[in-house]
Amino acid sequence: MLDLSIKEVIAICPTCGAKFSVPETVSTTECPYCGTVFKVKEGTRVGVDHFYFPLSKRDPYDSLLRFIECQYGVPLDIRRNSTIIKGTLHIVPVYFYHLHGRAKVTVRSRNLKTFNAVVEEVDDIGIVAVEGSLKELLEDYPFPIRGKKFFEERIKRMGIYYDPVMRREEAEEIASVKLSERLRREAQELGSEVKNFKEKLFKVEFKGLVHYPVWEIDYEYKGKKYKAYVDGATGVVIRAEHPLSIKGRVIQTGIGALLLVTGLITAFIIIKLSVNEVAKISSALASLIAGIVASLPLFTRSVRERVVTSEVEVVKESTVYLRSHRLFKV
Amino acid sequence: MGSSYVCSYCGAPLDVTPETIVAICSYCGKPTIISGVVSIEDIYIVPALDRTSIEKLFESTIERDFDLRRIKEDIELHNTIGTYIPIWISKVHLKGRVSYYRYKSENKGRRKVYRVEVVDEIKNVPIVARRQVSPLGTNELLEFLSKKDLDSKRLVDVGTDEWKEIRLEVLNTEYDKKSALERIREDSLDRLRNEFKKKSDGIDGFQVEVLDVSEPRLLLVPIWRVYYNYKDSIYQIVYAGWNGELLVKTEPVIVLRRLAYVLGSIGMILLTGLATLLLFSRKEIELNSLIVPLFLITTTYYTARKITKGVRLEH
Repeated sequence: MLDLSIKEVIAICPTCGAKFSVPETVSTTECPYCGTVFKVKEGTRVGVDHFYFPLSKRDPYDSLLRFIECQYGVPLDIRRNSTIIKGTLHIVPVYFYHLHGRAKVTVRSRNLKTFNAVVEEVDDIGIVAVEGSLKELLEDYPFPIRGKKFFEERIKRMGIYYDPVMRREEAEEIASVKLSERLRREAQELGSEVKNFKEKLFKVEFKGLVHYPVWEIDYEYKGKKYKAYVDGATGVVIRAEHPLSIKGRVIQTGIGALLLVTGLITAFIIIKLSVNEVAKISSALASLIAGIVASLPLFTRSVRERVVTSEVEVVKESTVYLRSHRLFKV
Repeated sequence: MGSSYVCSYCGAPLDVTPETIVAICSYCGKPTIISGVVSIEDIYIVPALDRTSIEKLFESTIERDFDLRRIKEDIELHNTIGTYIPIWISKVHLKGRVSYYRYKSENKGRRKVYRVEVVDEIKNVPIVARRQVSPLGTNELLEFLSKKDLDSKRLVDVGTDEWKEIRLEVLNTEYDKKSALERIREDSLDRLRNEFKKKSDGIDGFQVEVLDVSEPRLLLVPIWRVYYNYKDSIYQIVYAGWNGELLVKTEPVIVLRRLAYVLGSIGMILLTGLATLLLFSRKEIELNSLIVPLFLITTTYYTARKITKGVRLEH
């Protein structure tokens, strides 16, 4: 082992007194125990709470294509025959919070009678402080929680810079409500009735106002326009529209027609039988409806031109679910 | 930026920021802790199979799969990507009681049948140590880890030569040990609750607490994704990176299968007509015999929908 180790110094947190080592070159650090940001040498707290996430070196259009090419139904010539029309960088203000809540609950159940339990919720969330499509796009988005840097004025010139539409207090209120709701929801899952609910720990820790880069990419494939959003810091595709290949659409329309006709013919044959009226009408109707219902998925799918997918999954509460289900239900 | 950081073992530059928790040197594989509550003794690695073995496995997967072997002439390997996913894992001791119910159909409807189960077990609880995870396979990977202990070794014990053989891109860790502990505690109860939800029709009472959580380990778990072309699209097969076990795959719906669904749908339409005819031509018609045609129509819809599925998901 070469002794090229970075010289380390001991930093002492001015808030909680924790001692930990940091590389000599680091002038400002965050206490891993209580989160206080302070200057290492002076031991003084830094009042900075404005950050930004640096842009990834990866080309967002390339990240987009790499993701799209692997989606089902995308034409194989997508890379060759698509061109980027416009790439807009949005610098979105997001209030980052670390939530940690614990509540003591009394729950009633049939068999366990009334019992006490503890519910707990831990999460890192971002409250997006813009209005419009970006807000909807980034709702519940799993922002990375490490890698931010102190804000610099030059960031404002990197792209479309947004000032936050709400103050920190408002964002904090939203975050508190979310934590409260989650705790209550969990309590309700414990039994048939929650008799008592008492919050024992309710930490809504402000981690900073972070200006986050998001790429909005408009591209064109064979004369049609598509829109995609790519995470500017990590290169992950947040949401993307992409084309579906034409082949198969025609076949599907044909099959749809076949099923519809099957229903019609069956109904027709039934009508011609010599049975009582009620039986005739009800069964003819049933087969007609069956034919229509069966042809529906085929007709609706063959009409669909574009599909929306996402690369991001939100890992939450031991269930990993997709933001957009289209990945498999094409 | 952050290039003032170098690997403390071999001196190679590390691509990190001051907020990075642990940087795994791509040259020698050794960990350097940058920030956060974690130490190098906590970091373990499950060695990955090499690319050649995985590509051989891919070939045998195609041979053995009912659908894929019929189209193997048109299948072409597109790309093979292996990564190490950082996962914090702990053994959690859960104790308590769970009361749940299942519906049982009886004469005029259904009633709840209750059961109380005592819980006293130690579970493996894994959590992915980062926020953004790639879709397919992660769920299956976590399922695996929660049921079995994998053979792993301390990352610092991996020699430079061995690292060259098992080396893959290592995804960044975003949670340190302190954050991991909090989340593992919470997650363990959620997991257990979901298990009971799955095997029952509802939970009547869930009185379980976390007695103990073992010191979490940061496990670097490998996953291999093999992308292949078939006609117009790209599909993927995800393998457990350490032993090549198939986790999940997406595959094209072959013509034979699609044809089967078409015939099935036609059959269902005919059956719907026939069954309704028979039911309603009886002397006595009950109102609840409407359930039969409704059920058949619903089944017809789901069968027909399978025709449109472009890709199948198989575990």
